[in-house]
Amino acid sequence: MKIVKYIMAAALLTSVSAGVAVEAAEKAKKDPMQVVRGAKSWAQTCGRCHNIRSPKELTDEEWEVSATHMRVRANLPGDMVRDIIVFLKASNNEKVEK
Amino acid sequence: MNSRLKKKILYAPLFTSMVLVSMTTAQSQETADDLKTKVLELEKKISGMDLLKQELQELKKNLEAKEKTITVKEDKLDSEIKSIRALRKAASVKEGQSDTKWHIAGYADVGFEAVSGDAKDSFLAGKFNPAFHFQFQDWIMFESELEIETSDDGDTEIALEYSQLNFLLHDNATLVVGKFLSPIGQFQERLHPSWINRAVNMPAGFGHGGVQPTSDVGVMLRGGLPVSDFIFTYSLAVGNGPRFGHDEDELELEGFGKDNDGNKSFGGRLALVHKSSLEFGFSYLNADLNAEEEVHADGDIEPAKQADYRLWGVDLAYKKGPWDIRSEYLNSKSTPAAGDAGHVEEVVEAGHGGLEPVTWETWYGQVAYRLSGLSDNPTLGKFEPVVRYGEFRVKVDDVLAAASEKRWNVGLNYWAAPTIVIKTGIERRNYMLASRPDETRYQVQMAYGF
Repeated sequence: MKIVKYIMAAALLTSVSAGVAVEAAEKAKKDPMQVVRGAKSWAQTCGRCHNIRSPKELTDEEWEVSATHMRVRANLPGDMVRDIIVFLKASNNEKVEK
Repeated sequence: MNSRLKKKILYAPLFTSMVLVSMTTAQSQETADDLKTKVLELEKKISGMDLLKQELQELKKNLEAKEKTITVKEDKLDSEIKSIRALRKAASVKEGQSDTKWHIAGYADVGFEAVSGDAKDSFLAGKFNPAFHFQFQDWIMFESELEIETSDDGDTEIALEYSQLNFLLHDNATLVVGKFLSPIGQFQERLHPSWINRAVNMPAGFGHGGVQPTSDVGVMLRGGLPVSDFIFTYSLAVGNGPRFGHDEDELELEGFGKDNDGNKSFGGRLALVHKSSLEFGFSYLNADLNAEEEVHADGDIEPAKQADYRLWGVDLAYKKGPWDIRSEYLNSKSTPAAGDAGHVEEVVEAGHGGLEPVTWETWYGQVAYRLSGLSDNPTLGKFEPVVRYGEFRVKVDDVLAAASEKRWNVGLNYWAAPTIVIKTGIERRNYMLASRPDETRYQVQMAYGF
């Protein structure tokens, strides 16, 4: 029964925290320094386990999903991952404009 | 005046007027001809102008008709443009605000291995590990990885590496539910894919029959928290835990879909990552092992058994520029405990396997260096020498088991792309028991991460 209580508490925590996560993501959209921070974090964190992949390897949407996967796997803070996503998208867009 | 002069004076004007009249008549005659000619010319011109006027009218009519057609076409075009714009807008809105995003990742490898002694040289079918990631908005992700490989007998074997739901609770906390890779140490969770692993094989003591748990089924809370120049990371898990294996010196350290004893395993990893890319981690796992009484086909009865299981470990990583340096140590112990069968002493005296205290210990150190740190030559820069040394000891009641070994790996990798590598290596396995012959393996492997 204890396990059931733990699971119920976790579910409650999940639903409350989901709103917090979405709000934080909205705030981050308005920060012009994200690309700079994202480039730095991309270089520092992605290479910790494997070679750094080029931004052009995936589409913007794929990077969002891939970065979220790495956020969980490598225990990266959420704001850092959002910075990295913004940098990857900006790099992808530069490629398109050329 | 005389009459003749008078006559002359009288006739003179008459004559003059007659002359003038005759002259005028003559001139009039000429003018009329000219006029006739001019009138004819004018009539011709007027006729021409009428034709032109008709042509112009026809042209005007045609133009008006074309204008009407063009207007209709322009209206139609405007309508289509509006329709396309609406579609584009709808598509862009859909792209930008799609609730579900997904991505297929994974890796595959193939290879060849020549082994010293009686073993046969063989091509290796390798593995195909597709991983599926589905994300709903910014707060939940489902991810799963399969491992598909061809067995030695040619059968296709499929295993579920992990299948988990990630709830992104907070920037610094994620709740993971389901079957997940073991967070113990750094190799199993982060380094074992063949396109990331610098050597061809896992270190000694990792994989089946080793110290390192592969996965668990349960709940895990994990995340990273920036603290000054560090990121503090944590992965804390509760799961169904491991089970006894078929042999006394092996445990089943993988995720089971059902808990056979109701006792959960507790463990995880805490780590500090410095901004200089130096990482230090500590791992711990605590579980109870239980097996019910079992009657074998030959009638032999294997009594119920119970043991306490503890694992701890430390790991170190430094990855900067061309350097990739890693080391890991894991130590685990299974200690028989009194269960329903009675006291420990009684169980041990019964002489059944799996009830002696068993210890597993492994460590490795690995250094890889990318030659791009030495040379600007683009081809040379893609090569990466690697050296790894590790030891694995299994002791059953302090007696060394056959699996114990010392292992050297020396290799040279060629990175065709950041996620495509061709690895060559020599692996020397020195088994600690003299009764087991040593092995040398010559390996080639190509791995692709996607």
